[in-house]
Amino acid sequence: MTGEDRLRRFQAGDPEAFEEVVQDMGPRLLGFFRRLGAPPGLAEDLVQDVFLRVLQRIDRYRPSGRADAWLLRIARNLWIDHRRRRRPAASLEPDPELPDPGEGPRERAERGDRASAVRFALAALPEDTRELLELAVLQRLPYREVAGILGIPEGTVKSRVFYALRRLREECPDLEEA
Amino acid sequence: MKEAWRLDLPAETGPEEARELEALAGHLQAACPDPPLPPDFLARLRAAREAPVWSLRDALRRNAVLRLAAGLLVLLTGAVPVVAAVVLLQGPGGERGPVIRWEPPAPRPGVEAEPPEAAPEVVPEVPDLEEILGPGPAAREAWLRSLEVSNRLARAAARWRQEHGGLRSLDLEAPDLDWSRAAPEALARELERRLESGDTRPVPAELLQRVEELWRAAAEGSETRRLLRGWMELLEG
Repeated sequence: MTGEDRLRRFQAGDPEAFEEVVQDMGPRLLGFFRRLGAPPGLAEDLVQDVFLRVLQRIDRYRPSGRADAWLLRIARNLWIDHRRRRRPAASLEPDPELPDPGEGPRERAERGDRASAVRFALAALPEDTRELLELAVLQRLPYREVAGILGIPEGTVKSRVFYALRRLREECPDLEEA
Repeated sequence: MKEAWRLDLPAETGPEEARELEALAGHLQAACPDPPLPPDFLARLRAAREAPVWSLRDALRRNAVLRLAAGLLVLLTGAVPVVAAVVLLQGPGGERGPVIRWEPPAPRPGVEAEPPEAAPEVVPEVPDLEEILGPGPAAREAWLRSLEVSNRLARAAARWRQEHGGLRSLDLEAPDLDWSRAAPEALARELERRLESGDTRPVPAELLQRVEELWRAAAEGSETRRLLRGWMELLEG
């Protein structure tokens, strides 16, 4: 069953469908906020806010679009609101899952910790590039949906993803060898 | 059914680079798994969902005073620009009334008010031809000036008596002073006396000379200038 089916069922009054949406999309949304830099507690609060907003606006959901894209759009708006309100706090809070900044991707790749090296390289990218890779690669949204969320043309999404991956490759060249 | 995800790269990407970037995207996806939700997440979400959420719409629906206050606020907010627009469109109003008005005291009951004095007729003094042709150009100029001052003094005295006559008690006797050494206060008193008594006889040349002398010597805004301003207006017309 797809996310769209679940939202349609919830719109029709099935409360279990909403819990299924939470189970399905919750981890993805949590990953979205964590990778954009939210500390664990804040990320959970923001995921909760996303679902509360879904409850408030379920009548506005149109089944023509993808359910995950709709939820990620809400999540992104909440993240932007949060950053506007508390810009310095969000960037200063330490993220326990991020690798030690004293060690670069190359050193990590050499040590064999490739996953950590990729995460480190991703975290080192500018926020807009990270957000693009998050939606297009990690959340696996079609470029059309990414373009709708970011408010840019689909062709721009394609070229930006290409250059973002190139940049990521430059940040951790030893991955290719691996 | 959703289509399987695949990395879409620009057409000009070489096959080798496309393979590398696809592999990198795969690494990235593998390196960033989504963290699980905490076990109590759903319970917390349910609790948050049931917690009453304040909303303006609900508050307005429940509270009549709030509805009234909100209506008033909307009305006032709307009225301000409307009033401003009306004032701007109408432009500045006509003549404004005086801020303070002096009203003459009402006559006491039982006392008949005197009829107002008719405006006096001021006849300019016309000199004889011999006088005009007089002794010499310099003396003639001084004489003409004295005549101008006398005429202006006559007009001013007529206006004075009409507007302020009898309001002040002054010694109306002409003082016997050496005007060439008179103080500004004495000169001012002399002007008031002439206005009050209607004494429009030619003003002595030394008095006018003294007024000018003191005026020139006095600083702008000084007491001397204040006292002599009336004379200067008569002199300069």
